[in-house]
Amino acid sequence: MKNLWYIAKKDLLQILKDRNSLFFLLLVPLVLIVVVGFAFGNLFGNGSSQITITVAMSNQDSGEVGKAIVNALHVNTDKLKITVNQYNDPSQVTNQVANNTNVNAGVVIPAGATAKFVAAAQTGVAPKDLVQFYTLPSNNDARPTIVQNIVSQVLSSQFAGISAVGQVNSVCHQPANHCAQSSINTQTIAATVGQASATGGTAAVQSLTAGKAVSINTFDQLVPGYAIFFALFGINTAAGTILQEKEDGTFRRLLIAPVNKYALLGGKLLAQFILTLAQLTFFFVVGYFAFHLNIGSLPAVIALLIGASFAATGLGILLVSAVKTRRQLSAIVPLVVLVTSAIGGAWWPLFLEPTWMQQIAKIGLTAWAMEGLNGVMIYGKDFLQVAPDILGLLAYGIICFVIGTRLFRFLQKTA
Amino acid sequence: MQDSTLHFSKTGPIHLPKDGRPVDVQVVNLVKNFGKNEAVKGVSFTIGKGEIFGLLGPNGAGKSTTINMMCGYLEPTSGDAIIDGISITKQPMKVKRLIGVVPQEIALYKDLKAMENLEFFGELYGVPAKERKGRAEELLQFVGLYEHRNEPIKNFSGGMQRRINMVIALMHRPNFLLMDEPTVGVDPQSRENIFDTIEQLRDQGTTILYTTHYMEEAERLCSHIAIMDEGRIIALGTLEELLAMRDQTREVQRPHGLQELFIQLTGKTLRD
Repeated sequence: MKNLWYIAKKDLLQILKDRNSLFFLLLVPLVLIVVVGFAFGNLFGNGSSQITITVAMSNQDSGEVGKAIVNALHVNTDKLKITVNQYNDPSQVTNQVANNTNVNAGVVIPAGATAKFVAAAQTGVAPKDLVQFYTLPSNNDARPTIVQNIVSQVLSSQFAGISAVGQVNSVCHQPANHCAQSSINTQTIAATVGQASATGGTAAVQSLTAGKAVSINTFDQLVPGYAIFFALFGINTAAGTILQEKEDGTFRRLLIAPVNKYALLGGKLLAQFILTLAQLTFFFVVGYFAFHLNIGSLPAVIALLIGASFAATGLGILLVSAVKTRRQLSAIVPLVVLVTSAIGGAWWPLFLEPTWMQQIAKIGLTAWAMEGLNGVMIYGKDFLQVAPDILGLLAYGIICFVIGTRLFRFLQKTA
Repeated sequence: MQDSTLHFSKTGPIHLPKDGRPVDVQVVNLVKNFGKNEAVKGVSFTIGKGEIFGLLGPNGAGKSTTINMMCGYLEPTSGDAIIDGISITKQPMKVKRLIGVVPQEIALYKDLKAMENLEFFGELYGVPAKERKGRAEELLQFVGLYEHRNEPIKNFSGGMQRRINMVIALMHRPNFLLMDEPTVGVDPQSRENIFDTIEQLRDQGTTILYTTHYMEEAERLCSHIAIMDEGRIIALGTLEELLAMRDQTREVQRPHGLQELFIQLTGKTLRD
């Protein structure tokens, strides 16, 4: 056992002296996590972020309709902030939408819009193309739709109010009815009916919750994902030293020494395991303090990280056994890591993938690790609930170990 | 050496020396097959205690395979090597603690310092922790590299690396040292330093098996020499005995040194 530790210690010392490897294994992932985290902060539904919208507006109308639309677009809540930039000339609105990337939509309310609206309401037929709404062509952005819905809602409620006034007047003027005209407050009727039409449906629906809230901090996905992704690249650095030593002749020197050959291999793999676990722990500790990771069940996360390190070590010996040179390993590791990371949920949450892809992804250890880590950190699962993933990782490692050690050749072919 | 039979046939039996020397190493009919390829075909010789024994031969003669079997790296197809009375096939771990191997290639951890390399191998060979540092420093002084003890090996010249490559094998004070072409690619100064080290080791009682392609090295260092070709020993004896026997057998003029004898025995055909 002493020899096993001596070999592991020597390998770790070599890795610590290799600054390029450390840079790649620790610093590059951190930079990537920060960049991707801030670039795609809203992609995974960061609940704390506010949607911001800028609207270019030209209100030519002097009546109530124009005022109501402008007022409705002045929104500033935790979830939504709309900034309205007013322009006198309608052409400035189209110019802003077309050329200013910060402007999400344009609204032009033409002169006399209120009068046309009232006239249309008398007939009960909604006016067409009364307000002009501008966006970029083929725009898939959800923000212009939010603005359009607000404008449509304002016009609907206005139309309902004005139509109601018309209906009251119509009933009063029928021959059998006697109404005191002074008692009919047309403004109050229009406002009340309009407001009722705008809010009545919403109020009728009661909002309730069931189960636990899914709280997603973007980094809850990114840190584990990129940590696993780069930990697998560590195979090149640690397990790859076996091939490096074979090429340099030092492996033969170790085999000549009074060391059991399985202790020799075990020492190499112990170094790989320690390196992977240290690397994963580093990312999670930095993530916890710098990005406020939601760790959830700490024992479950620790067990998942140990399981992932064990499985990565098993994968290391399997790959090292399957190839002959370090150059071959350097080619095959990125291929394996990129494919298993892409489908295994390292770059985006596994639950976003189709079910069939989630099942296929289980051929790589990334899917087992990410399913467990997503479960603990995003869905608040406890140790027992992610136990299948922990066992999956351990089984994955054992299978790789068995195949890898069977394939491993201690001696190089000698002529 | 008395009653030793010198032998030049590529197929005939090898007679072990019976000169009364205290025998430290016995190689008994070692055979190694790689599939259908017979790399070593029944090699036998003995090395006396404190003796430097030269094993010469062209490329592919079977020298390295023989050394690999003697140090426990390769398992013999048949035969055995007895080191200090212990069989390498029966008790390989015990034998491995007695022997030191200087490999042909420079097998060092280039990122690690000279001291770190020596101490690591000291750990593997069971050198006690309290002695390890002192022993490593002593060896570095022995080969004139003490001042460079805290420098990474990658900063060393080829000759310096060769010297470190050699002293690593001495960390655990081996009784028997196998040196496989230890002077390949070194400058005359480093070569001289290696020779001095080898002679001091011999004087201290270390038994040494030395392989080389440089005949002048064998002439200078080795008390007994075996020449191998095609997996067999084709000549065995002291330098004088080899040269004298050669003259008698071939009835030609005495060659001017081992180089000429070597070529006469193994031919001029290029080897891979």
